[in-house]
Formats: sequence, structure tokens, C-alpha cells
Amino acid sequence: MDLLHNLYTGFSIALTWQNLLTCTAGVFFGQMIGILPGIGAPTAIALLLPLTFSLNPTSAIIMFAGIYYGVAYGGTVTSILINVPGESSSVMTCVDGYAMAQKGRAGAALSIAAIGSFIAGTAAIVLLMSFAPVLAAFALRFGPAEYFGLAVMAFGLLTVFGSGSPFKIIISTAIGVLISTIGMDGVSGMPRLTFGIPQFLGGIDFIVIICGLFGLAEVFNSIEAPEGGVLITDRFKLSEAFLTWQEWVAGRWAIIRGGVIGFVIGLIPAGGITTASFLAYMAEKRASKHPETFGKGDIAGVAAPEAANNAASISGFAPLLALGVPGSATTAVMLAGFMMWGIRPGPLLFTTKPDLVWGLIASMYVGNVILLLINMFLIPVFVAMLRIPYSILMGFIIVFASIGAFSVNNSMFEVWLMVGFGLLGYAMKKLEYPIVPLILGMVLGTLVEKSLRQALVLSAGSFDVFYTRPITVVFLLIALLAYCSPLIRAALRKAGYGKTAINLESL
Amino acid sequence: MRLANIIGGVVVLLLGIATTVAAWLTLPYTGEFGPGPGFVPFWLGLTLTVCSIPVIVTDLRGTERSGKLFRPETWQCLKVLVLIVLVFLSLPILGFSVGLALITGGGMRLMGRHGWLACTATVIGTAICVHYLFGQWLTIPLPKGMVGW
Repeated sequence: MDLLHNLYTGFSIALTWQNLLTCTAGVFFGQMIGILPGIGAPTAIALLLPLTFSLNPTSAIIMFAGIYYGVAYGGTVTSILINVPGESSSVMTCVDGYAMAQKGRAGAALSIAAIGSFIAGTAAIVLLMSFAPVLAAFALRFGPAEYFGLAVMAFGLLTVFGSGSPFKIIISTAIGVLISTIGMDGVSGMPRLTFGIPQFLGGIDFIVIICGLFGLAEVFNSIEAPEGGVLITDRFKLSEAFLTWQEWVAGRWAIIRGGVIGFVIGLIPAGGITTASFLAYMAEKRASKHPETFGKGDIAGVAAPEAANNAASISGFAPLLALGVPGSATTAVMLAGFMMWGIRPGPLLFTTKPDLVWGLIASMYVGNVILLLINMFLIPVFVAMLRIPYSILMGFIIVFASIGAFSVNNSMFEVWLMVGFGLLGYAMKKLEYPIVPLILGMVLGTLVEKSLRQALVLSAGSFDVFYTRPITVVFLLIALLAYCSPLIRAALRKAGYGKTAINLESL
Repeated sequence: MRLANIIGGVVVLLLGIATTVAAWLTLPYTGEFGPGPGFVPFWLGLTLTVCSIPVIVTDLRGTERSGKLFRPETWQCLKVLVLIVLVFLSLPILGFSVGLALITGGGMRLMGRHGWLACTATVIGTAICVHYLFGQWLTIPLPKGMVGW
């Protein structure tokens, strides 16, 4: 009964004119951003954050959530029509989606993606509203030691789900945490790593870093490696946009399996929607009676990753809202937004700000319906947007990033800092150091240090607290396993297990 | 590319060493009630130092990577960066609205695919939008230049 009452409250908030408008704006922008190259959800939210100060926090969060799951829809369009993923979470959709488009079934691919995303997204919202309060109630038992363990586990899981050298992932994470230590120490009041620069005493604002790392750095990366592709338009006919009965039958179980995998992966801190879509594709291929058809236009190969990425984008809110731990770069930026509005996500959020939480959850139902309608009727509009040259887009990204950085303290110092972080992000990408661990390190760095110091203060300096509390032990063991996972994977590969079933170089 | 990766690893190594030494020498490791402000930076510095070594060793041992650090398009990036820096340095004269507008138009021109007419129209349009949308409607106090924008 509580759940129904909370949901009723949520809908009464989500269905106000202001929130309907912000939700619609969010999903529409999200879809656009998913289609346009060079702009991701974290960038878009970071660039828009400073501009939403005039909105109330609930409306702003509803809009950003709309952008997040809207992006998952938008990236599909480019994946299917030009074999270029609009977002990293749509990479797997390219494999079979483009193949379907080449056979003249682009409309069917887009339809199954939209319908699969809607079904999986709606189911994920139902599970979220059941699961998140339970997770929040469980998290009320957390003390500083548990939060320390949870953050270390989140860092560890980056080496499991991340790609590339595990040492580079750890280095990126450490740099992120190091950046979070810049400024005055909260306990002693001593300046740390300020180099005598007074502007550093308050630390480096997250918005400045995000505008640099995701805004400017992506501009440089996109200039250097423009993603071309041949746009398939001659084979896209509205009359062929509808699924045949056989296609629906072939795709329905993929939607369910993909949705479940996506929801579970999205719950895990650092899981992310890209990992979810990849795992869903691999699982669907293994479960298929005809795995040889994958990569050649199998509709299940589109349905599964699309269902997974949308479900994961929804379930990613569970650790953010209930634990205050972001699961991805996008939710990390949203966490920064929460902090800016003076809202602390975590277990108490469900009791102190029920309107915001349930308004957000209810808006996800509304947003998913709006997205389904947009995808069924406005695809030609979005296809037209693909023709906008990047040389025009990049200027506007720089404008938004510069104004976003400036508006933090109305000072050019932050703009120059943004340029510096832009160059850092560009260099990191060139040298294959992942950015997401740096972002999570920055966001969780303060939590890690504060929790560690509080735990040791409470235990009078004894480290017993980290191996005598069961929840902390579990988190730290998972972290240890995660850090050892590259060694485990190497050992399994030597033994002949875990061969990669798909060659990603073929994309 | 291999050399660039080695240099990157060495930079991280130096950063790690510098952070470790700075944290040890300038910040208290312990405080009155547990770890001090130098505790976390010290261990972060050590982590960076330790993790950079296998990265450097891997790159020293590895064969030459395919892919070049600098491609023809890299010079486009450099041009855009120079444009951004020059405009930001000139903001006291140009003002934020005009400066950002010049970046959009100049960027289009540098990418080489648009004529002067399109670039000029973009500059004018962007300056107007930035001034009225951000400066007036959102009341962000953007720095003004000699033209009052």
C-alpha cells in the first residue's frame, strides 16, 4: 500500500505542467544528443547544469534523467542507419542493426529497438521502485567503514568492467581521487595541493572538470577522428517500419533477457549501460538456437542490447538514490548536480525528500511513453539532424562548455582550468587512459577519505573496523577479487576459457 | 606512439613521486583523531608510482604499436586550440559574446568546409544568442568587451 501511495504522490508531481515540460525536453534533448556525435549524456548534463539553477531541483533532475535514458534511445538511430554508434552503449546495436538496414529492414530494427527499450525500461522502473527503498533501508545500517568499503568496491569494479590496462584504470582512479583532495582539508583546515593559488582553496569545481574532460576534450577527439559513415536512406521506408509477426516472435525473449541483464548490471556501482548492452548481446548469442545468424541481421541482436541499455540506465538510479554512489559517468555528474542543490543522495533521501524521489520515478514512466511516441513518429526528423556537420556542432559545444565553466565562479580562471582539463582529457584518450575512472574517483574521493578517517577516529585508530564488520568485509573482498580479476582472466585465457566471441575490430 | 606511451608513464611516475614526497614533507601524516591531511595524498602518490612502473615496463618491452600519435587531423586540433587560446586572451577587448562567436565561426572556417558568408552569419547569430540567452535571460555576468558585449 505504501508503494502505491508513494507512486500516486510521484505521479501527482510528475504530471504537473512544469515537470511534464521538463521531462519532454529532457527525453527530446537526450534523443538528439544520442544521435549527434561528439556529445554524450555526461557532457550534455554537465553543460546544462549551470543553466538549471532557476529550475527547482525536482524539475531539473527529471530533465536530466530524461536526457540519460533518452540518450540510450538516440544512439540506436545512428547505429542502425550509418553503422556509427551515437553512444558507447549502442555499439552492439551496430552489429546486427546495420546489417538489417542493409537488407531493407531499417524500420523494423528501429521499431524493435524502440519497443524493446520501452518494455525493458518500464519493467526496470517497476523493479526500481520496489528495490530502491529496500536498498535504502539496508543502507541505513551503513557506517563510515561500510561506505569506505563500498567506495573501494566501486573502484575495484572499474577494473572488471573497464577495458584496457588495469594499471591505467587504477592510475586514472587515483588521479581522480587526488584531484578531489585539492583544497582545504575538511578536518584540519590545512590547504592541500593548492600550490599557493588562492582559487584552489575551495577545491576544483566538478563542472569545470566535466566541461573540460567531456566537452572540450571530446571536441579535440572528434576533430581528429571524425566518424564517417554512409547514411542509408534509400532503403528506409515508413511502410516497412512495422515488425512482422515473425520478427516480433524472434525478438520478444531477447527483450526480456536483455532487460533482466541490463537491470542487474545497472545496479552494480561502475556497471554502466555499455557493459550491460555488451553482456546482453553475448548472452543472447549464446542462448540462440542459431548463433551463426548473429552479425548478419538477427533481430534478437538488436533487441537484446537495446533492452539492456535502457534497463541499465533506469536501474543505475538505484545505487545513486539509495546509496549515493554513482554507477556511471552520467550518474556521477547527476550526483554533482544533487550536491549543488544541497541534496545528499543516500538512504535518508527516501525519507527526507520523498517528493523528489517518487516524482523522479513516476516521471520515468511518463518519459518512456514519450520516447516511444517520439521514436515511432519523429525518426525522419532525427535522420535529418545527422546531416548537421560537426564543424558547426563543435563551436556550440565550446560555447556551452566555456559559459558553463565561467558561471561556476563568474571568473576566467575556471575557463582556463577547463582548457587545461580539456587537454588532459585529450591526452588521456590518446594514451589510452580511461576517463570514467577519473570521474568516479573525483566524485567518490571525498566520500572515501571522509569515511576512512571517520572510521579510524571511531575505532581509535585501529584498522580492526575494516575486517570485523561483515558488510565492510564483503565489500572489501569483492574489491580484492575485482583488482585480481585481470590475473584471473589471464589464467583462464591460458587454460583456454573465455574466448571473445565477437571481434570488436570488425565494427 | 610507443614513445608517447612511455613518456606518459614517466609523467605519471614523476607525479606519483612528487605527490608522495610533497605529502610526506608538507602535510601531517597523522592527526589528533586519526589519519591526517597527508595520509590519503601520500598513499595516492605511492599508488601512482607503483602502478606506473608496469605501464612503463610493458611499453618498453612491447613492439611498436600500430597507429600514430600525430595524424594530419591533429593539426586541425592544434589550430582550434590556438584559436581558443587567442580568443580567451583577447576577451578583455572582444567580450565573451563576441569572443565565443568568433570561436564558432573561426572553427567552421578552420575545418575548411564553409564559406565566409556562412561563417560570418554564424558569428553574428552566435553573438546575439549568447548575449541575449546567457547574458540577459539567464543573467550570467559575462565579461564585456570594448563594444559593450
